[in-house]
Amino acid sequence: MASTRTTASLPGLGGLVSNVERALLARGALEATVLAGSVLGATALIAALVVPEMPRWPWLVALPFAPLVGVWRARRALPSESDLVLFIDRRLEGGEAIVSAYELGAEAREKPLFARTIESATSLLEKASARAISPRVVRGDAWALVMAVATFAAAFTVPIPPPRTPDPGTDTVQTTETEGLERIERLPERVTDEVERRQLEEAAREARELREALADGTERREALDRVEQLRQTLETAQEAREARETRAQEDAAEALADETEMAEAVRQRDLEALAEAAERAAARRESSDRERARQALEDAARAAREAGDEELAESLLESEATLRHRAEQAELARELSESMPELAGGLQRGLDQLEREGDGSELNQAMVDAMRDAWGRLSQEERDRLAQAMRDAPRGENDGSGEQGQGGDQPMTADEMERQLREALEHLDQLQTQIGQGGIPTPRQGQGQGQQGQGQGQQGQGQGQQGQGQGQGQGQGQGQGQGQGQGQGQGQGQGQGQGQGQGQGQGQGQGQGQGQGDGPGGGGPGPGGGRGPGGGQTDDLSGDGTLARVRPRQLPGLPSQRSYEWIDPRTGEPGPAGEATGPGGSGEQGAIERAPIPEDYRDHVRSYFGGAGNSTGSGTSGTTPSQERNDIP
Amino acid sequence: MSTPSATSRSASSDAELEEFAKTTATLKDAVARVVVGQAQVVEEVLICLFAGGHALLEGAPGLGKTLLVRTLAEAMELRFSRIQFTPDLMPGDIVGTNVVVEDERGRKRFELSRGPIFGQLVLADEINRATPKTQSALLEAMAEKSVTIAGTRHQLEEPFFVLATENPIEMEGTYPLPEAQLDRFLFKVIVPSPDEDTLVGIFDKTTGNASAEVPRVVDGPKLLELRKLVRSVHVPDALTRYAARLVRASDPSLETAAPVAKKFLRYGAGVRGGQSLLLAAKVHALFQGRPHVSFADLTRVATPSLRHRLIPSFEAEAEGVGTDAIVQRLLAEVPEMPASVGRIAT
Repeated sequence: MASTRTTASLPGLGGLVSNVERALLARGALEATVLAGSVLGATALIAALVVPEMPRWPWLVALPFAPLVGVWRARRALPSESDLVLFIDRRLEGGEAIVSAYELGAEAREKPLFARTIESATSLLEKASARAISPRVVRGDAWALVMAVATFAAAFTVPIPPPRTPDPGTDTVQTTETEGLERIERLPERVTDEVERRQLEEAAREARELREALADGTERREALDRVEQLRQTLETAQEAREARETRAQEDAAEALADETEMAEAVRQRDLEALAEAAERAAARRESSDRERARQALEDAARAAREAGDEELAESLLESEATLRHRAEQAELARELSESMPELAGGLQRGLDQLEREGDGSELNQAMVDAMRDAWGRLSQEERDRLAQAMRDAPRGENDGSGEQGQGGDQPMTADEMERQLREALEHLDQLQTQIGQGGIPTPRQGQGQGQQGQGQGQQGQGQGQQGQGQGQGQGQGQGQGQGQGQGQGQGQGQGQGQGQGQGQGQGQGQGQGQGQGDGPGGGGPGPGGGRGPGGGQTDDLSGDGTLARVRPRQLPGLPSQRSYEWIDPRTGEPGPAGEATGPGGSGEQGAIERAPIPEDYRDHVRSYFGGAGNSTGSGTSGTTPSQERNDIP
Repeated sequence: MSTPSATSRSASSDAELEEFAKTTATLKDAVARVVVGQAQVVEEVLICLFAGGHALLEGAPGLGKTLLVRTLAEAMELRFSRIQFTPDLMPGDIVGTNVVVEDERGRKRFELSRGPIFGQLVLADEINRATPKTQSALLEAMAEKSVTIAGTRHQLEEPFFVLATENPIEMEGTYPLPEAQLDRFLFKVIVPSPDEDTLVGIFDKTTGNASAEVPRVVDGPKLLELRKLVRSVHVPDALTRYAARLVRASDPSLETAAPVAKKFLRYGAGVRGGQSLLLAAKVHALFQGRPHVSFADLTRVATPSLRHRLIPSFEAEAEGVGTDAIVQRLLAEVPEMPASVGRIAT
């Protein structure tokens, strides 16, 4: 019988059932709208209060989907047709006549027993109005829709705050351009002093950790803190070093108490003046004075070494060696003068100048001249003795200078260390500036880089591709430059360069240094690779008299930026800056070449006077170890 | 507007329904000539009669239970028998036994002496006074409508209707009917004490000379025909399911049990309870002139159908909560409409 159930068996029942179904779908849509509106409205309001910058319209956009979902759910949950008929029966108070007639179906019409039931149901359905039996669409919970609208309105009235800027320094900075930190890491490698090395190792550890942190990315303020900490560590090392140097100077000066001139030079740390004083001490006639001065220098060197200033100790020892050498030289000149009275004038004048000015160049020239004139008058035995003396004399000196000239793996000098520390601090300043001003590209801000300037004294180049800032570059004579970019993609660079020529010429300059000299060397320091053209001419000297003089004002091997001074022998005045004039060392060389001296002795003489390493270049010798030291700015 | 065929069908339908209604009304009138008041009791007994079930009447002595049964028997032209249950009553006293008889030629043979159970309308008076063994002799007769005597099965004549009475007051020397036997009664009819007007009527009729004649209303075959009509009454699915929910709600061991059942019942109604409910509702629908059952019919017959099938718990007895109250609360706790329809209505 169930298979015959159909609303068609009862007129009007189908329409009522459809009407109830529509009402139920409408109710479902309304319920879903109320529910979704309440939830979304409350969520939007809470979100607006908690996260004000979050947009609210997405919550509102989701609301129209609620009725559709509600209809879909209501359709799925629709009661069966039997239930709907039962509901209609109950609404019409049919006493289960309608549902019975519906269940009995069309077949029941053929059974007389149920005629009364069918008639009753039909009668009820004919009188029924769809509105009367329709279930309520709007129920008690519909008031929540008003609340939902209110919550939405409240959510949209919450003001949207301006975008919140992150706390200063909390952005991430990341860079691998940390050459300055890498330099700091290398600082302890060539330091011999234990205390200083521990301090620099500590700085190197901090630099390494900072570099790794910057490579991985770290907060800007943390990076700045660590840079500042690293700076303090370096400054502490620097101050400790300065304290040791001061103490060494004081100890050395105290040891040189009898040699007031040298003591003052040491106290002022004027190594050039120390060298000159040592030469004057060497020129004194009394050997006891020289020995006392030499002993004082040794004591001072020992005191400086004990105080930890190795650099000063070496300078004092070099001065002591120079003093010994000059003493031997002066002694030889006196012997020559005594043996060859006719040469006494030139030699005496050189000795006087050596004693007065500490300048041995005139004495050297006078000795060469005297030897040239007197060589021919010497007996064979005298020649042999002189040759042996000349052969022995420069050996020790050259050996000493050679030792001094070896620079590569030697411990770092004080000036080198001073310069390295200063550069490290300058790098830290730059790094701190870059980090602090946002010049270092951060992952969040995109990619940018500062390109380091490179070149031999070339202008540093800097490029900044991002952010704001400026680029600076520095170049030094060794062809290094730095450029870092900050800011708007423009960089500026400045460079300074120094070059150093060789030979007897000298050149100085800035920007474009030029140097001319008579010797094959030449070139002066200058940015962008100052150098001397090296095209010095050697005049064809003939006749008597001094043609050229070179006055070295610096001891060989001393680290200094001091320059040589070229004296024009014809005018007696120094040559113009950047242009070495006069025959210079090449004249001396020519004189030796032209002197009637056998080739073997000529080499001895050349090596003897060239052993000083700086004044009497051979024209082909290029750089001696001591000159390499001079290359260090 | 009805078509001619529809009109004839309606006329036919009305004839069946009206005949049923006329018969029941006549029966009620006939009983009312003798039994004063107790209309509800009479109706419930008639429901059992037309539904083909048995009734257990419980009431104090002197309320006319025996009179009611006797009157019904007279009005329905049914063979009436009465069994007065006593503690010494034996099963053979109910179903009968084989006895030795001697014929004209002097030969002896066994002959069945039928017991009172072979009547069509059997009154088991004070059934709770007999021992359980004797009470159980009624089980086969009530359920199978047959008895077995000396190994021979004897079918009881239809219609067969047992009306048992019990006295709720006297508990000493009684044997309460076991649940299995109670379940075989369609109704347990409570015979209330008469009100004042009823008592006056009883006094008038029983203290005077007048004696009422009970008319013959219906005979056995006609009663069987009417029982078939009862079976044809339509019960909507929703009502059938409601009956099922009621039965399940009365069982405290089930998850679906109503709170009242969980609290006050040890055992609930079984399958026979549901069957009784629907059969009685059908009869009641016919009493109302309807060929289909409504929720009102079910509600009306729920109490007499279920009250003797529910076994109260100690808590119910302690609180004095009777089974009638439990049934009413059960009806209140179990919604008539299924949940899906209930959601529409809300």
